[in-house]
Amino acid sequence: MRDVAEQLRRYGEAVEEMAMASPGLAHPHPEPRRRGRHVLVVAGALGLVMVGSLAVWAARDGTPSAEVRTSVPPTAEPRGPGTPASVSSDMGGLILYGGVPLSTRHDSAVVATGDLVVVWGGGIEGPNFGRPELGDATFSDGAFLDLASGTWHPMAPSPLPAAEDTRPVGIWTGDEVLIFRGSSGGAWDPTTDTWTDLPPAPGRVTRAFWTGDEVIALGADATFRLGDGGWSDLPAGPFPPTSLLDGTAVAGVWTGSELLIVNKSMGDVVQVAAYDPDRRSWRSLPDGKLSFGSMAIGAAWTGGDLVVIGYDNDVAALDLQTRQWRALDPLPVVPQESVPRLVAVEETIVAHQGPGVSVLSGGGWTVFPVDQFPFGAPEPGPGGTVLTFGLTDAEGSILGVFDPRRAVADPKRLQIGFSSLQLDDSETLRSMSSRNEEGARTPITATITTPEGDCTVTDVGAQQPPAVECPSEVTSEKLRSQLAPPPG
Amino acid sequence: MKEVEGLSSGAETFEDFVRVMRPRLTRAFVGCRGVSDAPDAAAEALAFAYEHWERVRTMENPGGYLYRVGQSRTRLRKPPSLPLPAEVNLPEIEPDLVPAMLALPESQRTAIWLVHACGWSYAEVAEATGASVSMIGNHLSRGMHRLRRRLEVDSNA
Repeated sequence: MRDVAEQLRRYGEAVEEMAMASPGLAHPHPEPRRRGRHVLVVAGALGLVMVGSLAVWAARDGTPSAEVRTSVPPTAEPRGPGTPASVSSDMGGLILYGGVPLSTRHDSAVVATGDLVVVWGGGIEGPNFGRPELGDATFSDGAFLDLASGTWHPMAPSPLPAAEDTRPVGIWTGDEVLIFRGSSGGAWDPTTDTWTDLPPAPGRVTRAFWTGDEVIALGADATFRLGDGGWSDLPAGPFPPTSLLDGTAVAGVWTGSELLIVNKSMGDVVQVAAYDPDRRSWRSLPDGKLSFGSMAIGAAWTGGDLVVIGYDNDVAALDLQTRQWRALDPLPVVPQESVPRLVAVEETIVAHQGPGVSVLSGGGWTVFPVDQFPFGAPEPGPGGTVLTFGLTDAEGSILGVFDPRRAVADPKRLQIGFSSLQLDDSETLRSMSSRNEEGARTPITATITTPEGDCTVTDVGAQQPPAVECPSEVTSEKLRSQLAPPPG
Repeated sequence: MKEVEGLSSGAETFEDFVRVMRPRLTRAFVGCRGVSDAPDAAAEALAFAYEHWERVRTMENPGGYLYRVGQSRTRLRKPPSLPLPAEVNLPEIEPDLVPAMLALPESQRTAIWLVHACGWSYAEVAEATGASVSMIGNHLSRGMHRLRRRLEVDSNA
């Protein structure tokens, strides 16, 4: 038989029969289970079908019990009821979860496991955030939000040393959350709320990616296999080791089969290389270009394109199939001295740069005022959402779960240059842009459709409100009244 | 590909649900937990469904969700133990199929197992694994290429 798919289908049927014939399901399990857990043997429920009995528990000591349990069994989830998150939303597509049972902080590792959002570590420089009373601190504790119940739970104390003043990196393997800070690491199991110490990395981990089989750690230039695998050096690639590069000039994305590493070298060149963990080999990809300026870059993977953003808000995409670069619309926000961050939700791009959170979808960019979001780098969230965690103007830290595709459907508050614009129900965003023309960037402009016709709202600099032009002065005045300078 | 009667069970009662879902989940878990542990994983998943029946019964794809539940509640860090084809009375199947499957990276093995051995759709596998549909397609295509290369069969097979 040559057809591999057909062989698999037949083999699948055969092993299903074998597994279903296993006596373990038909009767209460006579032995303590492998991990010593209480396990609900669904033989009872199955027995409604097969033998007419009800659900039966196999107790930890292995003594079969005839007790019928209908409440939540001991699922090896030692978490208590948790504390309800305060949930709020003043913007379509953005839900804010407050009541975080942690000290005020930012720069935490934020990892989505599917049903949970884990927040671990981070720090605070109170004076820099206008909160001198908070002082400076680095934290080694964490908490997780159960999205299903909307409750926060503290995590068990971690084995990571507290002294390192380095932003933690977190990834989800499908079974555990791995946290790295500096060269230290720990694995947290959400089903048992327990940590396993990981062997130290050969260098400081600045970014980490899970391939399905191993961790690829930038900064440490190494790979790590769980179990007995340990750390191995990453084979030498076309760039210098990432430990020697400016961390803000290096970005990486996992495509599902390769790790793409992007390095903004001196000048306007963006170098890209792909690492194949199966072959443990590298291949070079064509260089791209971003405008000359700061070396800081961000990158995201859409499923077909590597999208790269530079500090000057130039955006470019490399199609991995055609190996061709193309320029995308520049981000229409005021550049700031910060590391731009990108997250892709399939082909929708979310950019965190300057005084806005921007979404690039089929119709172009939409920029939302950053004051609505927790101040933090975006991370991929569950179900096509993007997570941001950090400080807000209000007390404490907060978690934002942002659905960009829902948010751009009918945006009602926009960031235009240094000001925000509140739209009413009769007004809709048509487009936002800041194009490159003959080497110069045109001003940031939003086109707003009103019942009277299209209006343009154009940024003219930090010291003045945007210029508004509508078909009539009455409508212009109305839109001007809906503009607000940024808080602070 | 064999069309599996939707992972959304359409069951009115938990007993009907179990009747439909138990064999599907058990087969699915064989790929990641092996024959001996797959029933445990299915039992864990169905136990969860029993405890949260009001929620699970309204899900569009409870099979994918319960697959994740069963995986997270029964963890294993070594490749699953699978019988050779001859041990399940399929001597006509390539003997190397099982070792070739086990040699694949977990992500590729899971995608191949759920799609080809269990008949799940890409979308169902995406739901079950938390990956995107395009990523499942990627895992599947690369995994099948490696399987075929290892089994030295025609790539069009």
